[in-house]
Amino acid sequence: MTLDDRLKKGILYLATQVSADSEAKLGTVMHAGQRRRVLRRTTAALGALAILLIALYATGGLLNDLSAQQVDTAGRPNETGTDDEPPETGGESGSGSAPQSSRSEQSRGSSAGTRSSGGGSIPGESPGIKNIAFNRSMDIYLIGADGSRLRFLTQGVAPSWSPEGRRIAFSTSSSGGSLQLINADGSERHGLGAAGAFPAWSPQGNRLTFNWKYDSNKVGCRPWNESEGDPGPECGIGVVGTDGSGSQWIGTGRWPDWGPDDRIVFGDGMPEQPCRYSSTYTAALLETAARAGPPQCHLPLWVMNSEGSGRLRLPVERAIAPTWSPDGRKIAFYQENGGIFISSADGKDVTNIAPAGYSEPSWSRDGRWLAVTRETVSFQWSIYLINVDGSDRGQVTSGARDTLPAVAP
Amino acid sequence: MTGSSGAVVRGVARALDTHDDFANLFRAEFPSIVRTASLILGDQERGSDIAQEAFTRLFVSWRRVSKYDRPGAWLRRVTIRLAGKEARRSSLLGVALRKLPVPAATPAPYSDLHSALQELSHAQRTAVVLHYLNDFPVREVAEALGCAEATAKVHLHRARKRLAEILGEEEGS
Repeated sequence: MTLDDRLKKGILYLATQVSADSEAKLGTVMHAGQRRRVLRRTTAALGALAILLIALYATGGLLNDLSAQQVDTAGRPNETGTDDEPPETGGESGSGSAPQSSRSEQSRGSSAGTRSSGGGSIPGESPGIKNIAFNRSMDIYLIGADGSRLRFLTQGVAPSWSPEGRRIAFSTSSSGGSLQLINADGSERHGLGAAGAFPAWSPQGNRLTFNWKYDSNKVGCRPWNESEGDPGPECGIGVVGTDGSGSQWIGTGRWPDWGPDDRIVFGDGMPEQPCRYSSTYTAALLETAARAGPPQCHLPLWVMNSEGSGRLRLPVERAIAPTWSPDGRKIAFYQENGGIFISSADGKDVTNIAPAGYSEPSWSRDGRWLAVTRETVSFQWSIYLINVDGSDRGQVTSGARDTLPAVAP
Repeated sequence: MTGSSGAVVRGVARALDTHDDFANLFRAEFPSIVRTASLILGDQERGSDIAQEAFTRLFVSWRRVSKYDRPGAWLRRVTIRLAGKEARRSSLLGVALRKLPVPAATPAPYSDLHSALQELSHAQRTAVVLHYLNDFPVREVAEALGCAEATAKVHLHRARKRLAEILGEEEGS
């Protein structure tokens, strides 16, 4: 029996030991719900009454009435001039007119082939890739495209190569997730003094864009949970100089990637409506959104200038971790339960090149290959290389916790 | 029957009449929610309390939540959030976990697993329960935990590794 089988059977068995009589509790729950509704309505009514009294008091209405009554007793005409507005009937705005989701169908033109070498080399042709950086658990490793020369680089998360291929940006997996730089030979690791994660380099190699640090004042921010090895906050997009200067927040979103024409492509971090495919929606946000209408699930891609201006929505949905091709003419991304897709730079001509289970694409320098994460079996991930037309796939690493590949330029 | 209890019965009866969908969801999901919360908290009594609170919140918001594709997913998220709050509260107050009852006839491996689950962090235990009890894929575990998918992967990996260590199993088996 495998570990998975044992855990599955054991947990199911333990669950059967829990007594859960639904019929006995249904009335209790519904009664409690009714009581809470009544309490909510009563509180709202009392609040409205209080506001009305305050308003009347503020406009002098009560005082005028009182003084008018006092004047009446003196025999003068009582011109109250009262406001006899009809009572509010409590019409609810927004109910019943919730917008409908209008998911566009993804093109699945050339479905990927399934040839796989599975043995640490790419069949057919050499991809011409020197190194791939990737995460093995919370450590960063380097490896050759043929699976040779595996070596530990440093502790950290989400490596990203500089354009010239000599340095790697990443974030720490503890101490608040600060951005770090290290030479590819492992020397001169140092922090940039900016809190965030998932860095990506500017084409000139002098700035980084990244997932901005947690900010409790921003709606939709998800805090860092360093004790659990959380790989990064999700609170909008920042840019910072590679010398640590000029750190600034440039807009909402997540997973930014800097293209060769100085545009940044990124995912939808904080949409107006909750979406069950997103990892950023906490139960609290869902509760808030529950009052606004049914959920939508667009999660489109966006592009913008590096100053945060010119935001343009691309016609792809449920897109995660977008990345520009080296020539800036294509974007690779993945969908949960959908695999890896490639679109044109304007988000059109979407092609599914790898099925569900493949994720986190990173382009080779010649734009012909993608290093990707593949879930080989339950909870086990390895790094693979796939051809951009999906025709060839080969396993690079044989680890079980290998994710977030980044191909050296 | 007193006046107040009669009103309660009539109120519940009306609610049952007008909330058939809620009642159906309750009957379908309540056992699963109780078991999930109980395994996450390691305590059946508190798990049952959390489940009832989650359904109460669902009932209050039912008119809108019922329009969702999956009201059950909303319910599960609320449950997990409430269980997380309860776990933190218990931790802060130093409340000792009351373990789930493990009958004497329980096979040893499951008894070991029961103990091993208590060794995990709250997030790890939640991730494991959601995956193995509720068959959630990683993405939905992340969604339910309110964290990034990569984070959920880490939770599951660490939980699986820790459980393998405690149970004396090969992680890759």
